[in-house]
Amino acid sequence: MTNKLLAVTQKDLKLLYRDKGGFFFTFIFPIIMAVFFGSMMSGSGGIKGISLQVVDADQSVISKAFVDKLDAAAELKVVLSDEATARETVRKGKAAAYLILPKGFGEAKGNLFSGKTATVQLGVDPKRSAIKGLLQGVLMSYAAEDMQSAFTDTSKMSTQIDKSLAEVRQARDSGELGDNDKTDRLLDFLDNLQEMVATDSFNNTSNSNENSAGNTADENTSEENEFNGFQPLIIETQAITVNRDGPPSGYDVSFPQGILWGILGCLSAFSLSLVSERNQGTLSRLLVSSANRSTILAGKALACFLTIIFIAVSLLLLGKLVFGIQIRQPDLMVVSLVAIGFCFSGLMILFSVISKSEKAASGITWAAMMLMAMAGGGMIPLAFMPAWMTPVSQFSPVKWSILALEGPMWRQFSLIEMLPVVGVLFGIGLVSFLLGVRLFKWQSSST
Amino acid sequence: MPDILILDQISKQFDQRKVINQLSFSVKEGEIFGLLGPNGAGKTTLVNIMTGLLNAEHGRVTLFEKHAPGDNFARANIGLASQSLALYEDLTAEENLRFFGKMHALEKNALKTAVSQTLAVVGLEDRANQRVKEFSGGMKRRLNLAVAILHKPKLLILDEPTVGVDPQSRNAIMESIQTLSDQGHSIIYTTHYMEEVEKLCDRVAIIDKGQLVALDSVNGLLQTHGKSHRIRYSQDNKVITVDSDNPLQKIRELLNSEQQARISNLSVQSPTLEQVFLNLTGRELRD
Ligand SMILES: Nc1ncnc2c1ncn2[C@@H]1O[C@H](COP(=O)(O)OP(=O)(O)O)[C@@H](O)[C@H]1O
Ligand SMILES: [Mg+2]
Repeated sequence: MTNKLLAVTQKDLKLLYRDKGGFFFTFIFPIIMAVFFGSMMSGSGGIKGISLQVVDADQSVISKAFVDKLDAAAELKVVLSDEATARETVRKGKAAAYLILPKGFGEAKGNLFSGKTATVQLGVDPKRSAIKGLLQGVLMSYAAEDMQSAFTDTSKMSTQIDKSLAEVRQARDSGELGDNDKTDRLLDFLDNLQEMVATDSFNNTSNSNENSAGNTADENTSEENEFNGFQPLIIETQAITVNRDGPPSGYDVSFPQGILWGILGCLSAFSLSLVSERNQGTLSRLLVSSANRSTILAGKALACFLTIIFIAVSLLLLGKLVFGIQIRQPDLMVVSLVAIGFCFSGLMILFSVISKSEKAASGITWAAMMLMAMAGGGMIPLAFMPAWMTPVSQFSPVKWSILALEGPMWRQFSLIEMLPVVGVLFGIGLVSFLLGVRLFKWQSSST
Repeated sequence: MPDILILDQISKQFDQRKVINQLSFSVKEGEIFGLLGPNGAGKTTLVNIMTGLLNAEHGRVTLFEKHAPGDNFARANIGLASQSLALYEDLTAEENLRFFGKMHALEKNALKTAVSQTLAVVGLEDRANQRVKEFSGGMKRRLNLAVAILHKPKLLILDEPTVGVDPQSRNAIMESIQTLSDQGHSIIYTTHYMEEVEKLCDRVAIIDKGQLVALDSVNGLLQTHGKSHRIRYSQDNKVITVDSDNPLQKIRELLNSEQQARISNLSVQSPTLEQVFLNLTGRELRD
């Protein structure tokens, strides 16, 4: 029994190794993908539906209005949360970023021309650092939109300016503001602005608006930071916990994906191998030999499993030695690799048993692979996916596998956090394998 | 001799179409049993039923007196050389043999001996380490046979083992089969080449459209159903054939007639299974 199983395994490995196409997609292509995308990872395109955890610590009318605005934005998918949960969710890779509106946000934002600028804290999943700049831009533009509407609504503007004038004067009189030159300049500016608004000429002079905004922005970059009334928002970016030693490089993201490409190549090659055995008649020959059906399938599954482990270990080693990827918890990584290998070997058996012809096999495996790949965010960032796919991605073994790889690499998953991931992978593998064996036995008894 | 295989009222249909129709016969231990029929007669289907790869809708197959097709004993004691070549093209001849040997639970020394012996039987010793995809059709057929005999099965089922091979390989295969028979294997041999059956088989079942048309020894069939001899001669540069139940009489007539001087190349062909088939079914055996 064991000897027969191992003989099947050995035979299938030999065949894979000698099949040029299978060899390329299983061993070479993944390396190309990992290295290529690793170096390209900084590039990005248009983005929609970035999942954003929002923490409204201010709970003011203005902060709530801002959250509503973000919620309505097409670029963002907002989930309200508390601070601890938000950080945790992003660390686990379940949301792209979190945004904290701290206490005083509303006051600072409502008080447009005071010395204070509304400040928010932003934390972005290091894996998706490509979207960080975009996210900052998106947040800025919404905050600026607020400001523009304040400018164009003259009565609101006027009250604003009055309020600011009063505050600045009070601060100057109490000696709070050291640099009188600058304070005077600010007061002059606010006075002029008040005049303009009062004569209702403001709406026709959008040019001057742009100019003054430009000036303040320049000054804002100087070291004295007291005059930043025109910046819509200060975004303090926060490091995610996993990120303590600096963000992982693009390779930390691309290598798990490369491994998944290899696994999918392997899945396709082995699924095809059973079909071609069916067509060539070698399967019939095996069925009339002394080997059992389950031995034949198990031998194939073992070959697939070993290949997956081999691909994963080689890519991880290559990544670590040449591209400096992190593997912080090697012991958990072993568990992950076993689970991933098990999952896809089981799927392979199911796919290969379902497929009756070579066309069907390549069709089924490619369709399934593309779906899994897309839905799993393995090859296409989740942010680019159509919305209907997000729930589908919950069932994607690719998604779970990538998480299982990243967890021990740099997400610093604890054993408890790994358990559901590994559990899902084992579950998928076991169900697929048993279903495959069942179908295989049933197929032949019904002919 | 006891029966090694008994088919009892076997019927099989594909998509409502009867491919095997109430077919019964038995094969004796030690004989070479021929299964002769044109393409599409149902030979391969019958072979698949014998080996348990297909289930018959009706009827019963008994192997080795008390076993059913596909059970452990039957699988261990049957060797099948299927009509479609069942080989791994990317493995060498020896790797194929070693792999299938292991599938039949041959280990280490036994496996080694069996591999080199069978390579010798089919004359592929010097090709052992060549990949199958580099083989000619004839060499593949020989290897296909080698895999079937590797585990020294009691019953050898050969489904058209000479189809599409060169004359040299065909002779090698026929000789191997004779050798195997001499060593005591029982053999079921399907073909649509009657010459092979005439040369090799002890008994022959002729099947057509899934039904048994005749079953006897080759001589028995020829005597019962192959009445006429075929006389062939040239006259005025034309070839003339005449079938006659009494060829001697016919030749005498020809030689005594006034045409005698113009006749040349006279030959007489005794009845063939070809004619037997024609007599029984009204159709040619050839496709
Ligand atoms: N799997 C199948 N499905 C449908 N028809 C089949 C199948 N296998 C064989 N047949 C049909 O059964 C008949 C007998 O085929 P086969 O047993 O291969 O004949 P032979 O081996 O004598 O040439 C043919 O008409 C063939 O088309
Ligand atoms: Mg056939």
